[in-house]
Amino acid sequence: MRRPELWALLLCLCLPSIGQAGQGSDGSEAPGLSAVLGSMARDTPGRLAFTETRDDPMLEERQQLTGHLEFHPPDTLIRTVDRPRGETVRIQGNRLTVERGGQVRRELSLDEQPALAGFAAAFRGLMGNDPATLQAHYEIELHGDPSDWQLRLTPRDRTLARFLLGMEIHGGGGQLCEILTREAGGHESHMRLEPVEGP
Amino acid sequence: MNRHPPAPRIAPWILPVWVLGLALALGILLTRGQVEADLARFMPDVAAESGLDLPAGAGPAGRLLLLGISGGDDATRARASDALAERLQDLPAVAAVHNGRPRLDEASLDTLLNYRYLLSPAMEPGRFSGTALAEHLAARRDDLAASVPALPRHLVPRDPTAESLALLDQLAAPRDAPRRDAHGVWVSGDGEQALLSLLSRAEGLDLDVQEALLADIRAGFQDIAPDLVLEISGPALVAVQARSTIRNEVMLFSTLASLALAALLWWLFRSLRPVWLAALPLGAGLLAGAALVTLVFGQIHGITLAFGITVLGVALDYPLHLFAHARRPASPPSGAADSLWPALALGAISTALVYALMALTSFTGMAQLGLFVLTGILVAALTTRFILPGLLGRTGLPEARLPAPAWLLDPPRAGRWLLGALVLGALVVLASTQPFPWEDDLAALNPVSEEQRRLDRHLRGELKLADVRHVLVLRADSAEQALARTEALTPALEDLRASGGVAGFDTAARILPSRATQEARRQSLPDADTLAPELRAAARDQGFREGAFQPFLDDLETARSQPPLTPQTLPPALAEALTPLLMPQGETWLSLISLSGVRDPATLDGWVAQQDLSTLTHVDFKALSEALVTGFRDEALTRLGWGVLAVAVVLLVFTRSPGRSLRILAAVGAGLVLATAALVLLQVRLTLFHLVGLLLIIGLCLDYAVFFSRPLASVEDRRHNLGSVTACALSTALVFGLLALSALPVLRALGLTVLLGVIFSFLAAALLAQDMAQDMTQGSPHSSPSQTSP
Repeated sequence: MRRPELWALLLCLCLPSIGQAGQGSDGSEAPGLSAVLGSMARDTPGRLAFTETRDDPMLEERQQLTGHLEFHPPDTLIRTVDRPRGETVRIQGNRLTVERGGQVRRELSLDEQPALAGFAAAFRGLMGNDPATLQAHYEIELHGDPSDWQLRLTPRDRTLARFLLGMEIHGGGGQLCEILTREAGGHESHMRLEPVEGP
Repeated sequence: MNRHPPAPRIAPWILPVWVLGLALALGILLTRGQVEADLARFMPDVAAESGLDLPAGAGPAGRLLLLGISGGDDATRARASDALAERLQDLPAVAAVHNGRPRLDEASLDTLLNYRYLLSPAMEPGRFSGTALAEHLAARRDDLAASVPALPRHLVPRDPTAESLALLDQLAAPRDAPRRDAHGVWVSGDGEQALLSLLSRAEGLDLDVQEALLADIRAGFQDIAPDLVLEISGPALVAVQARSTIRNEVMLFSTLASLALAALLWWLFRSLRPVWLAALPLGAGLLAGAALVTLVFGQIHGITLAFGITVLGVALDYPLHLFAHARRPASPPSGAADSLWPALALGAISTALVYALMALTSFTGMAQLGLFVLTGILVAALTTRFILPGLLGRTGLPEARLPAPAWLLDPPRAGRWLLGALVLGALVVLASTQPFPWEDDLAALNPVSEEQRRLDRHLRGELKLADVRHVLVLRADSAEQALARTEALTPALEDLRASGGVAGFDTAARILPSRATQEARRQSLPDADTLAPELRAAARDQGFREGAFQPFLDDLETARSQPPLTPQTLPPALAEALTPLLMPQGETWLSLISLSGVRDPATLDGWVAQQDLSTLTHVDFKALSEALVTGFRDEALTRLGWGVLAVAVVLLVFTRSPGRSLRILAAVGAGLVLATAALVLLQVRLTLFHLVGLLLIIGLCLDYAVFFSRPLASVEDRRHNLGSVTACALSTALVFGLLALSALPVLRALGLTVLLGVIFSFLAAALLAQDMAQDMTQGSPHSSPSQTSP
């Protein structure tokens, strides 16, 4: 395994906002998934403010991060952390860049990294209304209806599943509301999302 | 012609001796005969010629197979790729198969993690000092919150210094990865093909195992994805394919040539009798040739056997001449044999002489060919002389319908001028073609189709596999010594790369450090009592909980008593990567250092000399192979020269007529020059086997010229003479025309060359030798050289 693959794995773990994906192993679509994804489909840029709370058994204190997520159709996702320290992760096409303090710290190609590519495809699946792509990467369990739904995603890839135990995504009325991510080792992240008007 | 005393009757002991000899040859073939179809046994082995005693075909990539899946959509291909990889992994003949999924299985990954403190290249004294530790913990603190952490979060408690990353970096270092698509499998640049690479357990040249493996792969794929297309390439596949092509071609062309010759004979005589009569000298020649080659070389190669067709074609001339001249009761077969014998013997001996020179070369395949043809021709000639006449009986054969173009009986003078002009033009072509189109690539002799070669290049490129051309070989007494020496050489290799001498290198030490290095790293590990206080302080500074790094302290404690890893205890995924780079060779061990982007081999040689290591050698497989080819070619050319010279001497001795010898030689020279120029004009790149073909042309043209130049008085005799030579040329052209259609480049080269040679030789011999012979006979009609009868 190569280092970028590790990063890829990490990314899946750490950008819960993006990890959406998933679906039935038998190829059949979880009932209602299309409706849920359809309710969120958009062809204009979207912007969500987030507050992420991380519970980590290694740390004395719980961490809180704030920032925002942006989606630019067809395939650009930007996650910006404002506090406690500025950091921007941008995925555009097949390129992923990490910027800190205005400087590019890392630049990766999704092509070289299956997990990262899987993750990117998944996020495009969710934001781009593509249930098949989601289901290719995750086992999906869907509860509720488009007005109030909950999506449980479990990675299909065994290697990825070693790190990422699962994700729960809540939403309704065409919006993402909450993302809960559970990682191996007891690392947990809880993200609350709110739409932001304007750029 | 009938002036000399009646020929001595054929001695009664000859027939039994002949039968006994053939029985003996048959016995040899039945008991020891073994047809070899592996091309590698015909070609010189480059690895063996390196003087390093590398395993045959050990171009380190010999065991690699490249697989491409196309058809369907990307998801279908990815599923097929996964299913195929899983299935192949379970085959006992497969050492490893990769399709782009993480290369390390979980067990290997765990072993790596457990041994990271012995294996990590970053392990240096001071690695765990207070300041270094503080920096590492700060980085880990970032990882816990970062979007893209440097170290996977679940490893943070065990590995705060990110040793596992340093180790994985090191292991992943030298290779560009192929492209992966969204499904995580390797795909071609355009995404239309899923790619896999497979390393077999057996050596690449163990063709039976490889053939079975290939069949398993195809059958497995057929089960998994019958609708998709699987393409395979790689040295083993090429070798297996070549072998099967050779087998098929040998069968096909032996049969075709035999049938064609039989048909020609039947057409000429409208009788089946000459067919089986002609089969006698040919069969005897083949049998004797095959037996002698088996005796001398231990086996006979399929290509040599296919070349037996050559013998068929050339040696058929002997019975043909006999049949043509023994047609009348007036000239009973034994008398015809007697009068023909000088010319026949002259042709046979000259041809045999040329092949005797070839038989002495060090190129196994050429030597086999030479010996085979030489034996076959002599036996066929002797059989024609001493056995056939008795079988023809008193009656001889029915009148042959010999196609003899009448104008050749008395060729117009302008013909010679035209021929002269042609030869001159040919010489100009040869002289003005710069550089001369020699084929220096041994691979060009491989019967693999251009399509397969393109596929190989394509898959190799997409899988980002380097061409294995330059290798450094380091010899040592043990695996440990080999690794230690390789480690010692690494700084110099780094310098070489920094100076641009090479773009990259790969060594066994990258995968497995020497025992000494691992022990030194183990020694440098601090004990828990020393480390714990510093760790606790640094962790508290970063806000880590008490005991958050206890797994790290536990791992360190384990590492302090770990035995170093050896090639034997390495986990499978790494052992597989190590095997091609570190191998036992008899009593010693070889460490291979593969190089990429070698800018100038001479600079590299200079660098090797600077290292002052008697155990270090630079092997340039391509240069080696080209030197081999060039060497053989020079050898063949020299032999060609000697052949012509020897033939000239033989001619002079036999004919005792410098004039006739000169005319015969002129015809031979014209035939050679014209055939070569035609090849050049046809844009053929000349290989060793074209040279072999040219050698054969000497023999053929000699035969024609000798017969055309026979001083015959009567027009009737001359007409029959012309007829028999024409029939000979026709039969040879037929056989080699067939050969020119072969899929084997070796056979095709021969076929085309000889076909051209027959045409030009026949014309040259007819125009030059005969025309002047006519002038000569007018002067002294009875100066026949036919009294010579060896």
